[in-house]
Amino acid sequence: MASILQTPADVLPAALSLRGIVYRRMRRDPWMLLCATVLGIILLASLLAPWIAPYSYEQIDLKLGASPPNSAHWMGTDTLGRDLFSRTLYGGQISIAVGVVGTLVSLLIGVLYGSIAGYRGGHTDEVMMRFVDLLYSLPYLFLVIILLVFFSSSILMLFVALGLVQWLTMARIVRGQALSLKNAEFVQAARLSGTSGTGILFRHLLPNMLGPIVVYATLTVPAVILQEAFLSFLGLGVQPPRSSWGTLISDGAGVMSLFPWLVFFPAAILAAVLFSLNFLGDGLRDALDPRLRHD
Amino acid sequence: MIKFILRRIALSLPVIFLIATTTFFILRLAPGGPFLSERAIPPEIQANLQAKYGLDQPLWIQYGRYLRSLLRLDLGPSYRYPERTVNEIIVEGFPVSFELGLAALLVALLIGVPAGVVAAVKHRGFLDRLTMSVVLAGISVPTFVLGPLFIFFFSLTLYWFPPALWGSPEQLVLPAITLGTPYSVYIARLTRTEMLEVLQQDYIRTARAKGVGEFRLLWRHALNGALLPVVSFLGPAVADLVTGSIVIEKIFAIPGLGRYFVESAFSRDYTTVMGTVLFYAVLLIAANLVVDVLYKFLDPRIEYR
Repeated sequence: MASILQTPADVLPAALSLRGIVYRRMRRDPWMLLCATVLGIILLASLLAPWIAPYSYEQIDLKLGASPPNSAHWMGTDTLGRDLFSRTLYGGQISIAVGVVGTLVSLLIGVLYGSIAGYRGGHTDEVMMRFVDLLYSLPYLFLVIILLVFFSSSILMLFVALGLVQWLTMARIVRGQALSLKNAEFVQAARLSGTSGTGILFRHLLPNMLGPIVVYATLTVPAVILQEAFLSFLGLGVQPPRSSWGTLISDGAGVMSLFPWLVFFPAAILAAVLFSLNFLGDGLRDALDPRLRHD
Repeated sequence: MIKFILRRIALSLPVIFLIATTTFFILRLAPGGPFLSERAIPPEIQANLQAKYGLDQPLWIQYGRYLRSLLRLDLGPSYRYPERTVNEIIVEGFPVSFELGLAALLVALLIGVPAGVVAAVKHRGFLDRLTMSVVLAGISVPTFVLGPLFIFFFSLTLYWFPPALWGSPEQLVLPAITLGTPYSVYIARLTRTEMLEVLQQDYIRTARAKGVGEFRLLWRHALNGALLPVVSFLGPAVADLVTGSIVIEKIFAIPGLGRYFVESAFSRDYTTVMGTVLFYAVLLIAANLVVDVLYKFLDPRIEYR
């Protein structure tokens, strides 16, 4: 019996599940695999910073000063003699955390908002999406800057503020999906069998929208990381002695002509992460986009 | 059409009111104030200053006053620069930011559109891969790394362009390129996707069958269709250029509005902060409206309700 049930799955082409697409795409495109590997290594190294980092991120050695890369400090040290490699690892924790949490906040708001607008349709949809259109035209980062300057620029505030900036596009994407899915037969069947609105939303709509949501989330993470770096450059991000990739780059950029390694290493790592995330996100988006799938 | 524009303006008014109200209360509810600087001011003088700007009044009276002066388009005096009004600061700083933004947009279009077309024509080919990788690399390097890098190479090493300040056309080059690069990237991607789509359409085949030259076919027939989404991208792009220019102005020491904004935020200059945010909000809403109207002219298929 079991073997009969298994046969169709073997014969039919792989269903377009998200995992399947990712897997197939990776196998066909070695560049994506490379990006995923680079990303994985940097992620892992940052997460394991307390065990990997040779020094603490705040250990000052003024006698050392800014020294170029050498065997003891292979990314060199900053002007206060702190080990750049350790600071980059610990900075990665913060940058990645900001990117992930900011994206989660935007997911939470965007998915709920978009799916309600799309599923309800009609007037509700009209009003909700006009509102999004209007919010699109606001100078968000200005409001974020105000929030961070006037209230403490704690990491928590950073998370929330950046998430609040990012949810709009997510809402639009999810709304489009919900709109096209809500008249699908399986949704009608669920409705006819008496499933409640929230039930349909969470049990039927969301699982089917997962692909585009995940893909867009992959593209949101680098955007949030970049924004954190942007704010750090203005002096609003993580406060010393803690560091993020953004603060490291911003500190390094100021002394670039004297101690170029201070900006080179963090910038290279940040660029590698952003590039990988964007490359993966793009590849997945193309793979999921029915307009592009056939060519 | 007129109805559409009027409707949009009517919809924007409550949003602008909302922004004015939100910024007002966020600023006032936050701890600190414009005259609580690290330099100790005698309490009498401080009280006098507070009284002069009406900061000693109850909050709702201040709010009412603020709204009333807004109706007269008066953004009030600056606390940081006592002899100037916020209106003056905007009139002085905005043209600089605007010129920078416009130049950056031009750079973005001049790089982005050709790159996107080339990538689409050589779809899946080496050139496509190359352009798209360069494009991705472009987004992955933040502008505040790109800026110092450009200064390092083109000013301090090659002596081609001045490294900072504002006024002469040469001083515009580096900041404009730095600010424009990330947007050229978005535009290139967008152009590529749309070109791929357009090139498969019937009217392109018809044109080709009628013997339109390949060059003309690409750069006129196809590009016209493909540029529509690029136009609609320009609305939000204005918003990004405006915020992006904060950092660029800081790197290149340009006296634009973005720098005033950050400085006044740090020194709790309430009126300048509120005025700038409000000014930018109106500007962005207007930019989006213009883009939508433009879109309508370019694509008669679109209907407005």
